[in-house]
Amino acid sequence: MSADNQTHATNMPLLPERNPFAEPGEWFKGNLHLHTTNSDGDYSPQATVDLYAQEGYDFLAITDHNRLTDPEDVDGHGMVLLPGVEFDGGRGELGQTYHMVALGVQHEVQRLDAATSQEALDQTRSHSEIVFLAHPYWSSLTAEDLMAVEGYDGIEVFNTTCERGIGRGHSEPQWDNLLTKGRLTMAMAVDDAHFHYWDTLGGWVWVKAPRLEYRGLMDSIKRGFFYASSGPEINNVVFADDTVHVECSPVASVALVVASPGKGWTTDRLRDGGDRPLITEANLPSVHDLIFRIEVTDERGNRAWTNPYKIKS
Amino acid sequence: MKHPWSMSGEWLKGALHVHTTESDGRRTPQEVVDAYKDCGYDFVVFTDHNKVTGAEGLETRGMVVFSGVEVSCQGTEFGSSFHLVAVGLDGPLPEDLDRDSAQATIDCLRNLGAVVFIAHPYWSLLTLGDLMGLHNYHGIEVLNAGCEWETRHGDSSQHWSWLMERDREVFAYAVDDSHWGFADFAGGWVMVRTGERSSVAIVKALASGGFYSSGGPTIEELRVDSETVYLRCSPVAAVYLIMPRAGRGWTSHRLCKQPPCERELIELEMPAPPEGQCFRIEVVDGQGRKAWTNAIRAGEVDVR
Repeated sequence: MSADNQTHATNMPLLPERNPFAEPGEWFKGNLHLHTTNSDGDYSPQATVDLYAQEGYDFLAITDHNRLTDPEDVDGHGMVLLPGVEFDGGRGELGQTYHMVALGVQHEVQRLDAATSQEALDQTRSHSEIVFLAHPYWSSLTAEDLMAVEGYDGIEVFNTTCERGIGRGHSEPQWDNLLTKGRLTMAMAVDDAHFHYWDTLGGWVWVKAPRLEYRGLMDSIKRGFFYASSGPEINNVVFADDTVHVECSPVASVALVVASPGKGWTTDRLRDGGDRPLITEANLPSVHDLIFRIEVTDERGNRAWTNPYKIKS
Repeated sequence: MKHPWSMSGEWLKGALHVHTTESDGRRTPQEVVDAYKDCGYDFVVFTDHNKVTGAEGLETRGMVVFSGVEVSCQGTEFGSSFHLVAVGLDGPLPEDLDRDSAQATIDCLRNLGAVVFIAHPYWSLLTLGDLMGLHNYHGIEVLNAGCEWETRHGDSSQHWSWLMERDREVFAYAVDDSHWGFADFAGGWVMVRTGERSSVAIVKALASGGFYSSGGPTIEELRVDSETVYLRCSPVAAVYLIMPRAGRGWTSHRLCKQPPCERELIELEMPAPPEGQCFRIEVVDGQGRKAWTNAIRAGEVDVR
């Protein structure tokens, strides 16, 4: 395994200067993972696009299993359609496969033919520009399984169909363990909609890009200029000396989550008897030389997650 | 595998991980008893840091009040300490307790008759290796409300799954870890099924899975037979039947094709897993608060 854990992280928002909230541009909302009748989804490609367009999404990735659904074949209703595929291959510690979502796939593909997990990831990368690992908790993949392969840009911190399906949609523990090990990883929230039951509109990303077009969106995602959400909005994150200032939609808590055991801070301490007032801005004590991230949680338990930061002292 | 809803007795609500002025808590033992009594609890265990706090001389007001401890031992993969909670101690810690070894500490506390569980795995950023490398403990804290409020690292449901998937059938305890610097209590508790209101009976139930954990919902009734699992509970938004295998499980959301799906459930029948299959149930209310059963094995018909 490469000793250089920074290889895929050189474009990560490590420093306050590379903060998507400070970047010029606009925010665009999209779902990066879903299935159609071209694999195991219940809706046709056009029907899935119709649904998300009606809900006001700006972009969508159709990511059928082991095959490319060509965006040219559907009417995007003004949304940008990102060509994608969900590949599977390799084996984790308990023998289960890695599912890898690949974005920017520009040609027909087939099932991978890989002897090892790393080979499966390498083959996935060869077909695409951006790769993220799907639903670690649902797949029973631990942080160790995620460290055993390299070359992916992110993981799914939240997956709607896995959460509403069997309560295994959240993967923050794996993510925080990776960050503590210094493996800088971005985090996506997705639907992974199959439409067998209600598994849409649960998780999305907000991407900051100059305008709504393919190249700009892909570059922004690759560089981490996005945040993930299953409900709340994060409107601003500003770094100043010893504080991190956060502005968001009304939430029950704002947390600075630190990649170090026992460290962290929330502004959730408003539980004295009665109702908690909701928070729309918070100043959290900053940390230096440690990777951290910001997470907000609303009254229903829905969250939004920034990508990781690190401030050097 | 019997489960607490198939047993006779009453339900006792309790706080298992609590600090007082005897270590770094900001309330005295009596004030702690009063606070939990006023919240409707039935029992409280004092678990001060590295020190056993007794219940003598306290006005228990009808609650069962007894002693335990929280011991810290070095040696985690990320270089921090394991916090081990022991519930049910009659005397002070032995002087020769080897706190340099988490395993030796667990073994010692077990020999003293206590229920032993690992505190806040997520807050401690414990790895799979950390959890699998220790043995002889009864379980882990699936919810540490204090850690959840402080750092959003209080829910260790997934750490529990890691263990269960590797055939470590440990129990899941929900606690407060109250220190009383803010209102960090009554956020996580256990509901113990017992025929006797005594510390001995409570410890026995905690050691054998005769309880469930919660941060909000109440599981009133559970019946398991060869075809179905029947559940009755306080109003929840989702019920998950989770099997410790990748991608396996069942959910109340399967009943919804379209939103609005968030009606409140108070009873549900689910298809039973195959005979011999181990499973657990997690319910989640409209505010994201959960309750967890311990592991149940399908195929053993309930007998009352």
